[in-house]
Amino acid sequence: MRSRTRSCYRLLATYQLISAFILYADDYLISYRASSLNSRLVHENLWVSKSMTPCLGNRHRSITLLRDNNNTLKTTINNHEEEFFNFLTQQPLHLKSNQHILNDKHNSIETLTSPTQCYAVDFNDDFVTITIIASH
Amino acid sequence: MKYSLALAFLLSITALNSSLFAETTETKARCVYSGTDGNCVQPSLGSTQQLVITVFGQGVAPTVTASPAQAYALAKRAALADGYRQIAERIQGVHIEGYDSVKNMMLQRSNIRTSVDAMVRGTNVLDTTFKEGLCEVELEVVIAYSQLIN
Repeated sequence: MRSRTRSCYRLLATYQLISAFILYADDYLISYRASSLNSRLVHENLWVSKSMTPCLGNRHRSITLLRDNNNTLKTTINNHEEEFFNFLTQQPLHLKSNQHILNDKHNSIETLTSPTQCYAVDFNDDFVTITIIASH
Repeated sequence: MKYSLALAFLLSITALNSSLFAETTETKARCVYSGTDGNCVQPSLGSTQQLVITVFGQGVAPTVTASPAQAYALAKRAALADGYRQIAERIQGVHIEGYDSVKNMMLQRSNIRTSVDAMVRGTNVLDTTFKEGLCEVELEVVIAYSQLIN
């Protein structure tokens, strides 16, 4: 009876180990900022860094991007920036806008920022899946 | 037969009850602010209504780009930023500062500064057009009273 219980535990542990390897995903912190001056984009930056601590929370929407030649996450995102940007705009974005009208001169600056957010990233040979992790 | 009739009767009473008292269960909209006469001013958005805000953001492609695709992508970013600004302006409002200097009854200098600082979420891109270097993005945001009070 005891040996049967032990073997059951072993089986469970092995299953957990295998599932952990299969479903393994790296956590990445991604943030984005774009600035436009007089309706013309003047600055754009995407920050991608691996999270030093695991992100806790529920997984939400995800996007799958094609990946070539074992590219890094940043390169993959840059190659598919249009798709990723559409995905990014579905989340809350911070907007700061300043307009200055002096006599007859008009200047406007808009800064759109996607706050730093944790994403679970699953790397595969041909594609990469990026999933939002929303904290509790 | 008797049981089925009784069940049908009960169900019809429940349905009638729910339709009759539906308005009473509706959450009452709280006062936005007290008016000058001290009376409660109700919000324009009803407790069960939804408000759809649609804006058109415009962005211009840079003069020097590597390809037409890049021009489109960059113009779209700028158009989205403009659209987000318009949404934030409508929902949250604009902070405006104006300074006018007048000398000998003549306007010397007019200085107006406007600013918007907001977090926008739940926007949908309805349509995107790109023509002669100008990108126009139609953005929509749906807000409900329940979102405003939370």
